[in-house]
Amino acid sequence: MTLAYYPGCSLGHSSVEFDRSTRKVLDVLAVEYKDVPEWTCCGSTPAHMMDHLLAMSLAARNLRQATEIGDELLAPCASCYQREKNAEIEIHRNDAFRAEVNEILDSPYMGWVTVYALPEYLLKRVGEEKIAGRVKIDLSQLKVVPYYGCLLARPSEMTGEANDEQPMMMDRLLRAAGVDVKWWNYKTECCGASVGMPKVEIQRRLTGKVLQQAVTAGAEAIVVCCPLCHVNLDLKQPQTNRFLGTDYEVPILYLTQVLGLALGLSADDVMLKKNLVDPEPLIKRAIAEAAAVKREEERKAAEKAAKTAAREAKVVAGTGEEGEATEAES
Amino acid sequence: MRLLQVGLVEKVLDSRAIQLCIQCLTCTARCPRNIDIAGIFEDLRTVSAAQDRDVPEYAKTFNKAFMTSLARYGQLPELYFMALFYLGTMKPTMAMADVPLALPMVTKGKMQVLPRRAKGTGEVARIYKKTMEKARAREKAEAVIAQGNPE
Repeated sequence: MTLAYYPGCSLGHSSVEFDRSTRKVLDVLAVEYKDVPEWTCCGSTPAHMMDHLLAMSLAARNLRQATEIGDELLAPCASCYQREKNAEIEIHRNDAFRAEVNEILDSPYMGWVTVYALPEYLLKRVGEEKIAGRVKIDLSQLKVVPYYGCLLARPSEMTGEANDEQPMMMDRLLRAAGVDVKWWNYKTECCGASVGMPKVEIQRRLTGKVLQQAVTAGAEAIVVCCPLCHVNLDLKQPQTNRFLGTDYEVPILYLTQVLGLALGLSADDVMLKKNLVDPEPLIKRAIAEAAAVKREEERKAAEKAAKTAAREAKVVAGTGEEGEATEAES
Repeated sequence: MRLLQVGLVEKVLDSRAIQLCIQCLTCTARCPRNIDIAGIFEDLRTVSAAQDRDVPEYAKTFNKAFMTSLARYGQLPELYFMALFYLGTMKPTMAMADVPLALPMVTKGKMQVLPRRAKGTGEVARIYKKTMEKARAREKAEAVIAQGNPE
């Protein structure tokens, strides 16, 4: 069945690298998808801060549009995911409310569309084995922490995470792709994105804490799935540094950029050039280090094999022909 | 939550806490009594705005600028929205602080400079209009009821 892909406003412009890398990863994993026809904004935070019915109707319009493609919708943006998922849950369980929403819409939403977040879709509908089976590039020396933020894991009844304090979906996907995932305690702390425009001081402090915790955990990059977290941690890193007197330079990568690289996509395919804190030196170094580690392991393995062979030869040849064995070895 | 339980609704509606909440949902996820605290905050915020209480100016301007942009373009035109917001706040210093952010976005091709009208915008504008009319009608009805039954 074809998946309805809902890009959302951020992926069209400010997070174009998230959009591109997600599409490419879906292609590599042979997921068939089509864009939701004539999609419009999900309403984001302002709509549901103003009026509940407004927020639900804006989201329901997209669910209705998605029914033209199928009954599964993927919203890579964590904020769009929350809005669309909330609408799905509330409309599907309450017929009276569905009728109220349909009164507002131009034409009614009669379907049963299931909304997926990106990690959730990749885990449940594609699976770790399939991803692990297609890994082409060794990223075992890339040290990252997955950052879930507010909207991807909470509340667990909705998102399908077993524990909303310690979500694991991104961890599992990154491990399947062979990345060195570090454990940390800031997976779900808020980065302050939604007050980034009106209350700058609060945002700077929250963002700074996330960066500091990631570095302390031994990570060299933070992996995110939310365009708002990305803008905050990546684009606003210099300002946050200035405000706090710090000098962080932590690349912030989208989940699909990392998965894509592991699956053999190029830096251009996943648009590494669009990230503000340049991730390319780090990626190159990690790949080179992985190759060095592999060479070293191969060398050790060869040495060990040679030693074992030599020992066996000794045993077979007995004591008299020791000289010959040494000659053969050198 | 305790203030609401003991009936001090007014105090809650005027509190700064409901305005500062950034809807990170931590409280909802952690509540041992399974109260959807963030959801209640969201409702309190809409009520306090509807009753014209002391809602911070930036919040009103932010939401209004956002919805105005949507009703005109269907999908969020970032630059247009930021311009509307900063014009609304009448705080040029705030806007200046964001200029260093906008520049790399434009040079990296990550900011749409001229907004385009998305297909389906008409319906978005109608959704906005209809729900706002409905909300105003509801407030009026509630105000009449409140006047009719003084406690």
